[in-house]
Amino acid sequence: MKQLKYRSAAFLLSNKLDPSAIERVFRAHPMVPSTELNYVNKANIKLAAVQMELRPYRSLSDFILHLQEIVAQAQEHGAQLVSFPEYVGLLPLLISPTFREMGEDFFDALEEGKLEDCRNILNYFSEELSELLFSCYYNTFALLANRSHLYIHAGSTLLANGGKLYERCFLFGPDGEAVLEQDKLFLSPLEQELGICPGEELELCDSPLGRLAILPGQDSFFYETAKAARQLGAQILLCPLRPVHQDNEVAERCGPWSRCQEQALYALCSHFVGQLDSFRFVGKAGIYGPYEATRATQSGIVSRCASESPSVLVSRVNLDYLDIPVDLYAADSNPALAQMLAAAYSEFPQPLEHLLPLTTETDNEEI
Amino acid sequence: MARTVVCICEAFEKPKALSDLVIFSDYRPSVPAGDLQAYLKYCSNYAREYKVYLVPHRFMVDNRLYLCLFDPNGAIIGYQGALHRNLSTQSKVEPASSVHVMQTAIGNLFLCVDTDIYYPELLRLAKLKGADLVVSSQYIHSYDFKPKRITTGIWSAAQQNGLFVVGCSNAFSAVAAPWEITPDGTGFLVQPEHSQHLFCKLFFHKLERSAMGGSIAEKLNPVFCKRYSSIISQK
Repeated sequence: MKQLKYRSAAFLLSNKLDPSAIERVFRAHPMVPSTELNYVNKANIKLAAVQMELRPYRSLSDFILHLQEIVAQAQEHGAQLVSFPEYVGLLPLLISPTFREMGEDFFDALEEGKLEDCRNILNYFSEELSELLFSCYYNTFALLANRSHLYIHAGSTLLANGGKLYERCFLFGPDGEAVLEQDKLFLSPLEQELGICPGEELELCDSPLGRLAILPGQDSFFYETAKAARQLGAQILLCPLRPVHQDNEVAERCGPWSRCQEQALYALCSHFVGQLDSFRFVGKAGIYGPYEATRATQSGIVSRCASESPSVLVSRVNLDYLDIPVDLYAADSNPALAQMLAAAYSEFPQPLEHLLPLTTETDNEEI
Repeated sequence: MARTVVCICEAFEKPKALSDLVIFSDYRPSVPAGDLQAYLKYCSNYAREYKVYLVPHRFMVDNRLYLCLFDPNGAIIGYQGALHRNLSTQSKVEPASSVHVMQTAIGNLFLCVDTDIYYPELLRLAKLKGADLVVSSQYIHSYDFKPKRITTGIWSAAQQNGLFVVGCSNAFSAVAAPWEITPDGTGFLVQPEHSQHLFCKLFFHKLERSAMGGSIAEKLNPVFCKRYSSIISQK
């Protein structure tokens, strides 16, 4: 019975999310193109992190107008790049009451620990909805970037590809072309259990705004990703973060904020807020940088939303500040350590405890 | 091993009752070479007398900076040399080339010597080798001390690897732990203070409750880490 209900809802949704329908909404509601990218000064890059309200949509037009409203707010403050939260690509599902209900069922099953039910919903999503939703996601954000003439980091979406499910992020350039595509690299145990596959490559993009990388969700909670990005020349990390039920600044500091301090980078964190059915989301958007680059406060925080209300956080960053003076305490290198670490990583996924036996109380080297 | 009681105190001061692990705090960068032999002998006696594991002050041998661990019988059971140097002393110090995690009755211990605490790759390797307790002993020039020294040092090491980090320096003493298991959610069991005295109980089973607790290898992306290992481990 449920399958039949889903099938008819999918049919109705496919008519509503048709690419020509998206085009029609953009034509009916033209955007004013920004001129902020006509002249770019590396000492004055204007970035926007979105604290986006999670709300139900009555129609496709309702969804697109919400995105346009956010981008217009960012434009008003002179933003050159706008970053949306993780899973923003799934929002068109909220147009359908049936799939909104399916989403609720998913979260209920998750809370009750019924992973099999969650997997069934995701399997259905992969087989029947992923392509439809991805096409809507891609077309909408490409047009949003093209019509606003800004860089738009379209958070992330779930995408079925070759029988596997990935969380994929896109950055669209001002001409509407995708200039950067990144799969989530480090999955939580839950994501792994749900059958989501990790990416294998870290992509970077050269733009007039600097060299950019995307680290969605908990990718920015591991130094490995940020260090690889920095070594490859990244200057700004785009970190769409997952919906959270509790605002915890300390927990968030373990992620992008810490990476900024370790690797001398800027990071943009976007979040969802608001009440959707019985779920309340409270994450706060923030723009972070190294201590040395946040000269006024020396806090490593360029700016962070103060309230839980929807807003667009726009701040200026100076890429020249990333050339921070050498820290005498943290600038040495040790080839032996590099070799040991490379050996440890290259022996994955065998249990490392076996490969790297603990030193016992008797076998430690003599000085 | 369910819990370990850590005590930081001035050298050879009587430890607080019930201490399992004592760490000596000192204002000097390291024990002067001429005093080393006598110093280590006193340390051995101290560990035996109070029946504690002891991490004494840093010392130099053959141009390498070391920390060591005494067991409650007064025997040295492990050394760790500094793998990184403060660049202001680079010409006088040789880097070590091995990493030891010591399996003891008070936990799997990694001794983090001086500026080594600022290298996340080293702490990751220690965690991969099974460490659940890190003792960081460092010297910070007073004009170099700033919040960054704590947040990018012991605090970050604890959060990113899901382990306890006891920080002992001339500038502060503190115990960092994963924020999920600290009562005030700050990531510190003992807040950093300019003090040479600290006392703290560490309950190892609580580490499992943190996102980065337990085996870290399961949480990393093996294909990514392997593919990017050369650039991840470079400076």
